[in-house]
This record gives sequence, C-alpha cells and structure tokens, in this order.
Amino acid sequence: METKIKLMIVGLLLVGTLLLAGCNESNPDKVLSESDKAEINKILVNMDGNVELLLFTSQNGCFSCSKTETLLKELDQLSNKISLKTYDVDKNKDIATKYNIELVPAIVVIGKEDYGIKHYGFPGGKEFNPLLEAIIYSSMSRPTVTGDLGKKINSIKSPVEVKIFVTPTCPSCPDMVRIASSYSIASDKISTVTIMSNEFEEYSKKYKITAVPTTVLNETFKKEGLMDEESFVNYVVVSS
Amino acid sequence: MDVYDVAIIGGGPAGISAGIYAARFKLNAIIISNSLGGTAQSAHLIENYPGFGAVSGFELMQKFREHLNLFEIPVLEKHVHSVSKENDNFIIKLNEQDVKAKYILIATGTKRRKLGVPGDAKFYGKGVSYCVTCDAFFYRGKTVAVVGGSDAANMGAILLASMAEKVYIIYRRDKLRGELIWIDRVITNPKIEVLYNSTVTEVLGNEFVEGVKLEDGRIIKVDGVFVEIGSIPECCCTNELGVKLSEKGYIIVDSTQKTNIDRVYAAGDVTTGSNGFQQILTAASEGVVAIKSIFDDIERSKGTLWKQK
Repeated sequence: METKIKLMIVGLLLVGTLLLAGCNESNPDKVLSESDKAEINKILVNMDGNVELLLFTSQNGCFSCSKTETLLKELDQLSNKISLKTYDVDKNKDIATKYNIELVPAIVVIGKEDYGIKHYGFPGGKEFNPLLEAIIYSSMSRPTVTGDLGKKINSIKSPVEVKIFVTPTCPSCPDMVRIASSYSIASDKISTVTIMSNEFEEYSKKYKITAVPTTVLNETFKKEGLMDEESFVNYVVVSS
Repeated sequence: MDVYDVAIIGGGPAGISAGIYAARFKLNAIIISNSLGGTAQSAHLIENYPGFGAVSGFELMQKFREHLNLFEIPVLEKHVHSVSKENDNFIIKLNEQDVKAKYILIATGTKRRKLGVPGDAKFYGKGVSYCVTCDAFFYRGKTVAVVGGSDAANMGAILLASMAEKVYIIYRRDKLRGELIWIDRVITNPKIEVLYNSTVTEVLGNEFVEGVKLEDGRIIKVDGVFVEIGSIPECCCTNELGVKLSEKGYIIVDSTQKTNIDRVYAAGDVTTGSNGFQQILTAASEGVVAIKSIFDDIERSKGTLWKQK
C-alpha cells in the first residue's frame, strides 16, 4: 500500500527487552528508561496530527492495568501530540460500551479519525513497535490504497472486525498486526483488535487458540500464521 | 524510474549487512524484503554471535535494523514476483511497482522444511507448530514433542521444558547433532526425553493434536508437536535468470559470491558458500563480501578499481 513515510523502527531493543520484563530495572516505578525515551522520541517526530489514547482499566483483578497506565503516561509525556484519557470500565460503562471493550487493559488509538484500532493487554515485547506505528499512522489522514488491492478494499460493503491473537515473544506477530492495522487506517470498514494471548488465557481458549499469530475475522473465519497483504485482503473481502 | 546500482533481495542478516556495506561504499542500493530481519528473528537464544553474549534472535536483528537505519538505504517491505533482464538492467517486479537495478544480490535465505506426514498440515495451528518462541506459552504443564535433533530442535526443547511438563525429542539418528553445549543441556534436563532412531509417520488427533505415530508403530501421546527439521533454500527468481543451483537447490557461488550469471550475486543461507555452514555470522559475512565484489565490478567497469593484492 502507499505509505506516506518510511517508519523509523530504530533503537527499540532496550524497550522491547524492558517491556518483556515490564519494569525499568533502575526505577521500578517507571517502564521506560531515559535511553528508551530518547529512541521513541526519534520515532514520534514522524507524527502529523494529534492522537488520543483511550485507556480502559479496572480495579477488579486486572493483571496489567497499572503497568499499562504507567507506560502510556510516559508516552503521553513524550509528545505534545499524544493525549491520554483513562477510564475505569466499572465507572464508565457507556463509553466502554461505545468502544465495545471486552477485556482490560484496553488501548484505543484515535487519530485524525477513529480508525478502529484497539489493543488488549500490556503492549510489551515485540508488540510495542506495532503500537507505536499505529500511533504514527493514526496521526495522518486516511491513505489511498492503489492497484488491485485498492480495488478489493473498496469493494468491501459491510464492516469486518479483525482479531489478532499474539504473544510478546512471537517474531511474526508484529507483521500481522502491522498489515491489519494499516488496512484499518486505509478502510473505514476494517477494524483491528490485538489480543495478548499470554494475558487472556480464557479468552484465547474461547477461540481455541494454540498458535500465534492467529487471525479471526468477524468471529467466524480463522487463519493461523502470518498472511501476506494479498492473502489478508482476500480473506477480509470473503468475510465481509 | 531510478536505476539502482544494486537491488538486494532479502532482508535477513546477509541482506542487512549488504545494505550497510553498500551505504559505506556509497552505492545506490535498495533492499526489498517482505520480512526485514528474516528467519533469524525466530531464534529464541543466540549465544555465538560475537559481541552479544546471549541474545534473542529478535533482539539481535533489531540491532541489525537499527544499524541499517543509520544509513539512507531505502527498504521496500514487498514480495518479489519476478526478475527479468531488460537491456542492461534488471527489472524486479513487485505488487504495485517495478524496481530497476544494474546488479542484483539474492539473499533470500531459507524456509522451514515441513514434516510432510499425514496430519502435519491438518493440525497446523491446532497443535502442530513451526515456532517454539511463538507458541511455547500455550503448552504450560502439557506434554509436547520436538521433531528434529539439530541446534534449533535442542534449543527449542530447552525453552519448552521451562513451561511444559514433559518434552520428547524425536530424532531419526542415534545421536543429537549440533553444538555440544546445547546437547549437554538437553541430556541433563530431567524434563526432556530423547527418542533416538525414531521417525514420526503421522500426527494424530481429532480437532487438536493428541499424539504422534512413529515408524515402529509406537504411539506417543502429546498435546503439541514442534517441527525443527531444518530448512530448504528460498530461491527467488533463479529460474528466469538461469542461475545455477546445487543438487539440493542452493545457489552456487564462487569466493566473491558471484553466481554463473553476470551481475547476479548471492549471499547467506540460500547459497553454497561458507562451506555450507549456515550461521547468522557467515550470512552477514557473505553479504559483505558480495557488496565488495559488486563495488569492485563497478569500479573495474569505470577503470577506477584500486590495485588488488
């Protein structure tokens, strides 16, 4: 697809390593180290417009809400184009219903428009890069997909919800999330939900997930493994 | 359309190292890869890449990407459909665009060898896995089998043993092969049992994997099967260019990484280079040698090549 910028995925080695552990060893109250922040700043300069991060949490048995809130607050402080709003799902049922929040923590990324990008769980390990990319792309206007894939995307008549089950140690998962998220931004008919299977075992069992990435389209079609763009678009069209 | 000096097809250790050296030699280069980082990213632990001690494949390749990003080398994350020759240039056909280059460097690596027995494809994602680092988590407290006996199988079994209750290594030979340091860790791990001289003939189950059948008729009950039986070359565009392959399908290269076709070079696991020793280190090295050879060729054609030793 046509992209406006080449994303600079640089210097995230430390970030990925720390986020797997979920803490900053030199300061346990923080997630990102100063060097992580410096590297992330290099990426965030690619933002165009503003991006709102909606974080949904709960006081009741949420494994990673506190850690996720710490991380997003740190991200919020890195760019004046990012703003964070936190909602306790038990006290804000209306807004949780509006965004169809099934699990906590949930992160909804809203840029120039609501492109339908949502993440369940602590975005650690290899899943941190796709979240940063989603923030950057969401800050831009909806791009146009050209060629055959563009024709197929434009032929979609009804909404398609893409759920991608991932783990923080899966090398090909970020690629699957990246492809789905970029098409969510390119088409108002496609939304992408990423689920950290390691945090949501029962939810993953409901979908009988035993491998990642696994992509579930509109709750019916299921495909294990990494798909290329063309296959992904074909499955989306069939599921619509 | 720009004509690049060299199009590097593949973005694993060989392709990225080639990209870095192309930038250092001020070649007008482009990398085309549908997975920057390549299959090396799947290795859960690498302990033999100098300077890094112990590092995961993903982290090491992140460092490679980070290094590449210090240079202005464009990267197209695309699938290559075909390569043809038109006048003096190669035309690399992608989904929605073409790339023109004077030289090409094929660094497409390898892909995983499939188990290829009944049940392998049927249960893929339903108990059969080709990625230990991705899916080990789903087998906490369960029984699994690793098929294979090389470094990848050994290190995969060790990772699985940290989560599963029991791990079988099923291997067709009478002793494990690869680095002895991994073998020592396998045979001293109380959760791992190695079944030597054993070959899986079928993966059994209903909706999900329930066991494997061995050649001698034994049935081993397992919840998951991890396949680590090596790889086969992921050759791209060799047929249309007439690139000569070895009997096993690897691209034949000389000591400069040149193929039998003028201005076509190859590097990394896809080649016969480095005495067939497929390592991240040797792949990176071949990528670098290939770029130096291409640089020399270009300089030679201009009559400006420095005098060689």
